[in-house]
Amino acid sequence: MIVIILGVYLAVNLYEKKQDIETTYNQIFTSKAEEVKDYMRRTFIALQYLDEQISTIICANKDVDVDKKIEAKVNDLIQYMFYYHDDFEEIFVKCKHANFCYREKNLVQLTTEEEIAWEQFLWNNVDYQTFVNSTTPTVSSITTGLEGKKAIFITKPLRTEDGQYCGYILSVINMKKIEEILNKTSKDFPGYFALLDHKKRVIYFPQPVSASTLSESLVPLFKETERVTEGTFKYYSSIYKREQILNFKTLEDLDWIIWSAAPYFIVYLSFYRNLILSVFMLLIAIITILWTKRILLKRMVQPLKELNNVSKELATGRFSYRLEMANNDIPQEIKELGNRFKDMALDLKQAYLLLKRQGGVLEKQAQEYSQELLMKNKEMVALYAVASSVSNKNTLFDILNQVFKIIMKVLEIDLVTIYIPQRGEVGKESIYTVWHGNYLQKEKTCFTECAGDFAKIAVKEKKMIMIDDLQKKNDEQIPFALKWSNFKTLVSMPIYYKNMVLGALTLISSNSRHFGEKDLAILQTICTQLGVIISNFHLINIINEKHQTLMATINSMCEGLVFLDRKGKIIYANPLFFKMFYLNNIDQQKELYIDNLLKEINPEIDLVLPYKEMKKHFIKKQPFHSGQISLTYQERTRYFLIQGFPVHTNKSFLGYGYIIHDITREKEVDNLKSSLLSTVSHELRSPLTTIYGSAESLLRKDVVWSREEEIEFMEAIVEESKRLRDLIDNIMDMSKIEAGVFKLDRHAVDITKLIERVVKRHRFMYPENEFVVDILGNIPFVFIDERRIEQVLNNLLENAIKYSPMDKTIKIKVEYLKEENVLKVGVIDHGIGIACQDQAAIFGRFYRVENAKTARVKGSGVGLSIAKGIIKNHGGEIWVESELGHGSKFYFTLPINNVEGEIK
Amino acid sequence: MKKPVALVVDDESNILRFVRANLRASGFEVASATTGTEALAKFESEEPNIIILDIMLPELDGFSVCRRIRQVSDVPIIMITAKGDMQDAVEGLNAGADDYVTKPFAVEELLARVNAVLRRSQHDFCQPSSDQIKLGNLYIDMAQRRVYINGEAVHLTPTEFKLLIYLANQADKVVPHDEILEAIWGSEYRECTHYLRVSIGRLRQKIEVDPGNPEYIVTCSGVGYMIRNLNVS
Repeated sequence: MIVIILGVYLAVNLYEKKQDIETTYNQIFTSKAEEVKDYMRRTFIALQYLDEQISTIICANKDVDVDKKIEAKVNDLIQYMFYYHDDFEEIFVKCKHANFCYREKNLVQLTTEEEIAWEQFLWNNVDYQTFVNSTTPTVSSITTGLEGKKAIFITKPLRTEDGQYCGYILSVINMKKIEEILNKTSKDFPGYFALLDHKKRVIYFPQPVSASTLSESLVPLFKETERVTEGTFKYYSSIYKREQILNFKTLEDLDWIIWSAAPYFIVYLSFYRNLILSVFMLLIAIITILWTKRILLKRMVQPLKELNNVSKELATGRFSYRLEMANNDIPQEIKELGNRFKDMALDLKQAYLLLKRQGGVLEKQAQEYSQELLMKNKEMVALYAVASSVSNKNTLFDILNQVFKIIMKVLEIDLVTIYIPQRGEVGKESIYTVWHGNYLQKEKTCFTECAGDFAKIAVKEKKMIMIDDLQKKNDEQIPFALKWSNFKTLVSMPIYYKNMVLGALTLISSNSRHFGEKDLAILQTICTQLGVIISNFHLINIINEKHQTLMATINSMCEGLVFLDRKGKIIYANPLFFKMFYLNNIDQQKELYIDNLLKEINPEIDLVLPYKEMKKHFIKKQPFHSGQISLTYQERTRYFLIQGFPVHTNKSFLGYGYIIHDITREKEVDNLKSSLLSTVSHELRSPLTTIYGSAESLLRKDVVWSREEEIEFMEAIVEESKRLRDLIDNIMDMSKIEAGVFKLDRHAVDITKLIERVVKRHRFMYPENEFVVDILGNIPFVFIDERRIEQVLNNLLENAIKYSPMDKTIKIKVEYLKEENVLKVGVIDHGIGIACQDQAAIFGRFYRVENAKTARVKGSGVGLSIAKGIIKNHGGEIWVESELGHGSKFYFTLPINNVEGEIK
Repeated sequence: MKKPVALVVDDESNILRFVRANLRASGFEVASATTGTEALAKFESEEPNIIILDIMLPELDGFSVCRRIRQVSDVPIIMITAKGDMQDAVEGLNAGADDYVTKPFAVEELLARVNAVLRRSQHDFCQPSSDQIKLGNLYIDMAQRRVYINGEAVHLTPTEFKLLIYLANQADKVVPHDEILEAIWGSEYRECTHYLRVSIGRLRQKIEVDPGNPEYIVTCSGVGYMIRNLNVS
């Protein structure tokens, strides 16, 4: 510790010394730099003064050309100047007409050559243009003067009153003065000073070396000065051949660099001296400490070892061991320690003897304590059993079974019965027993019942029942079966949960033992736990039931339902949802996001859904009232209405649900309706247009129609009126059929005659068609509305004619089917035929097959619908057998038995 | 003077008959067709001055016929719509028809419309204030009857061209619906704003960069339309 403090102290001391040296060195340098600066400032002031004075003189006498007065005045001034100020070696004044040159106080008369030399000297060193415009003195760089000496001069332009350039003052600085300042070093300072001008030319350097050698050795300095204006660094001087410490500073205004350099070692000599001294002192301190330690060890370790041995002996119970302190070198403190140790050993011995006597009592207490621990342990085991069974069993009875087994083991019980009355539902109680040992089934039933009865009483009275001796014959409470069994004790304890009795537990043991307070405490604990479990199971059952009902409802819905969580993950989707999008094969156990699900949809399915809208409402957590989805797969388009709704609990947003309703049927009906409307409207408007247009044309007064034209118009009116009438008739018929008020005027009719009549008329109307009538065998009379059947035949024949543009042969076939007792009539053509998918629909209202071939044919599409209504009303059937491009065969049947029945 | 040729297309022979007779009586040379394809063939061969076209036609419906003709010609077309709802009328105008009549129609009405349409297509009603109009990237050459967008020629029907010029002559001024309708279609059309809406829509399709977000022709809701002079802005 002392060594460290000493070390730190010495280090701080050394550091301070170093700082001290550097500060001193810096101070010397700074003061020298100031001195140079002062000197230069002084020369500046002197020049400024000269300038002002000479300018005043010249300006005051501007009228005079060359005047002795000026000369005298200037002369006086300069003399005065030199008298007080010896920093200038020479002063040269050039103004308008006169030049003055002073060398060390004396006015020198210059020859013309000398004057020219002065001029040249100035312009060699100073740029004329800059100089003429300058207002401050200009300092030249070091140069060679007129007399071959080194020189620096300060110069300033002279100006007239109105600022015109009219000459200059040029003063050569006394170099000796500068050298004097720099050469003068204090005794403390082991180095030298040097000075460079703004062009880095040497003004002063103590050693006479060549400029190139010097600038080579000063490269580090130049580098530094480019970076900073002042600083200190260490470098190797090639001139002095030594490590030097160098301080430098760039003088403001002048841009000169002053630097000092001193041998590094000498500067820091006193520092090194201190360093060596400190290290030496530190060494001495360390040696002293080590020596003292060694002596102490020698004198103290031995007795301490002895003490250690004794204590070991004591620990093993041997109190006879004595400590011998023979060595006289041992210090007094150690000796005292030894004596105290001896006393302690004696005390210990006495205490040990005392303890031995008390031992018996202690042992008894320890046994009691361990007994208690055992009980606690049992409790713990039972509780653990309860807890662990809950975690890995599924049904309540699985858990009870597990728990009871442990209870039986822990409390030495033969039978455990639990009774749980079903709350609110009479008779739906449950009794459950777990056995230890083998019993007959009969016995089991009997004992379970007995145990259950006790439990019921415990539940009813809300208190525990305990019977210590089941064989006590005179106790009426004990059932007969138990009295004669080998069971000895019984306890029945109610199970509470939140002050409510959920059931009771009955324990029966064949050991004649008393259920002690501790056993009951364990039992109490178990019952409390069971209470929690039973109540939880009740709750789970209720929840499960509700959940199942809900799921069954959702799964049976006729709408697709999907529910997403906040991130768009599908939490639940009903089977119909998957079916709607043909996603039956998807793994529904997998984590599914709605976005990903859409990608899973069969690429052949053309799905259009309002995805943007859905997304927008989902993000905003707003209900999405109606969007339409269309899904085209295998040429069948289905339409769905999708509605979205956010799902909230009281507090938070759970997710978003969508209900998808299949509206394909509605859509189809809607389309049918609108096409129906447009067809009817077209069918009605077309004839009306002709009637209206033709009639109006006839009424035109501005046109004179020819007779033929008039007839044409009138014919058109008649024709279209008929068409309109037929159409209206048809619509009326159809409405009657649909409303079920279609009346038949039935008579016994020979259908062959009817057919021949109809065909005859068609032969006349359509001479280009060939009609073949084929009557097979004897055809009985049939009880029909002749006019209506004729209408059917007309319709079928007209269709056959209309849709047979090429082969115009039409066959009418009649036969009697004995087995079914019906007449079968067929109208067979070789026309364009009807495609499979249209065959069922043609009997519907206003249905017309739309293709290029049918487009030329006019029709309202009600004919077959009416035909079907008529035949159905007769109790027959109508159908078509056809193939596209291969003609159609229309058949209808008419039952015969009606005829006979009616005739009789 | 050569008689103007009218082509009447309808699949109902009786309608065809009286329309033909009336047109002939009004001084037209009349050609007729009963199917869509026949109509296109007759259009090629007869070079009609006006076409009266039913929508419900076998083979190729009236809308398709109209669209095909519009690809190559500005001949005036009047549609005959049977379904009687506005949807058909608007679709017809969208397909490029100039006007329509609804079944059943009065002969007088049809003839009046034929004359109105012909009048519109024949004489230039509004004399431009100058020979050319320049609105931003839109350049209208009156003499050549041409419109250029970014130097590219755009084909406009006569109605569209007139509509554009009418608005362009009053650039940066809101022109009310009825005023435009009266000027372009005639005073009997003052209330028929759907004609205007359809034509503006078609014009935007042709001249606007993004017809859904028009720059030139701006809607002034409930009042009218305005063409903006993008030179200024």
